[in-house]
Amino acid sequence: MIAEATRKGQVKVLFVDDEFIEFRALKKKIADLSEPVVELEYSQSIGDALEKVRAARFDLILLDNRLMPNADFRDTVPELRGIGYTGPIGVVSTDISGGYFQEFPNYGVDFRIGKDEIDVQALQHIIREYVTYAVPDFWKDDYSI
Amino acid sequence: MNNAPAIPFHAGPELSRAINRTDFFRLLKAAAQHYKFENFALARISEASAPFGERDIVITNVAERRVSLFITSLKEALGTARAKSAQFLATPVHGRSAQPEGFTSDRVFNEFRSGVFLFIPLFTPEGRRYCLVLSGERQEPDQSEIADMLLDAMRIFDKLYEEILTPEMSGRLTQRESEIVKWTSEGKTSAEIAIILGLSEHTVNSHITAAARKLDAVNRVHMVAIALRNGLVS
Repeated sequence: MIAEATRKGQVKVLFVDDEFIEFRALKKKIADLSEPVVELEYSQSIGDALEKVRAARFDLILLDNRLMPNADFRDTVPELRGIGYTGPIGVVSTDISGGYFQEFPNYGVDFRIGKDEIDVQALQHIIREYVTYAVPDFWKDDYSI
Repeated sequence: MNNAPAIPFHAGPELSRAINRTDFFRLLKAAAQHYKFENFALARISEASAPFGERDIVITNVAERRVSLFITSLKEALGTARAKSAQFLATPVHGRSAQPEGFTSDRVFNEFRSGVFLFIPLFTPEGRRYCLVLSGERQEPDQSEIADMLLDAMRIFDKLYEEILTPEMSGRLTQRESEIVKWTSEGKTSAEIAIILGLSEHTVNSHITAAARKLDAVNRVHMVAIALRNGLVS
């Protein structure tokens, strides 16, 4: 799969976090990212994110683990999957050490990452791994790892 | 007051929690930074294009368009003979990429030039050969630092072997893989299966690739045929 937006050379990312300052911090951290071009949008709540995802196509969603009033990825990600979003979702949090994080694949989450770990290199890896990857037509001698 | 040295990220609890490729990216990136290297690449050793080609890279933080330059600089740093014999190396080797005298490092054209490269060979119990290459503008590592890095690389690789390589080689489909093969046998696309199961297309494609490899199939149709023939789906 090569996501629609990346064919136009741009990756559309939705960042969901109830703290707007986190969005500004992320924008600052990836300001040097020139390849691929990333268009970053922001949602302050899962409700707003659901509306945005219904209205436009996003290549990637970065989702804060805890969103108001008291939801974590086990509640929010199934909601996003429930409206038919099949793109990658990464859970971002200051603390990803909770035992329940080990179950993230069961809830439709593709990866988890600490907020302080996100930088240009990490985002490039995430895009390469989950957005612009190509599924081979033939698998013989073509190992993913 | 606790004077015990802090455990580095890559050797702490996150190592035991790692389960997917992004987790291993996080660990390797943290390990590289801990030892003052800027770049890393975990790759399968290739006999055809020693030490490895672009397609052999498993996980790296080197930008896609810089990978060939990274490999060329690694070969320069190791020297032709050692680069070609990488498949026979059992202990780490290091070297500095060539930099013509009187010229400063040209970060625009080759940010790896004049950098130190450390090549750490890694092996699976079955004898499959991998390597972790670290590069950066730092001093050449001494023996004690190399020993620490070797141990850390082996620990991360062991975990990767346990979490990713072993299940891939088991030949037995997981419950999720069987479920996805079954939906594929009913003509569903990855996007449709993703909606049905509440997953991403990426996850579905990963499961299909893993199932195809385990069944020794060359494509989806072949995978379904083998699964049906072996009674793995009805």
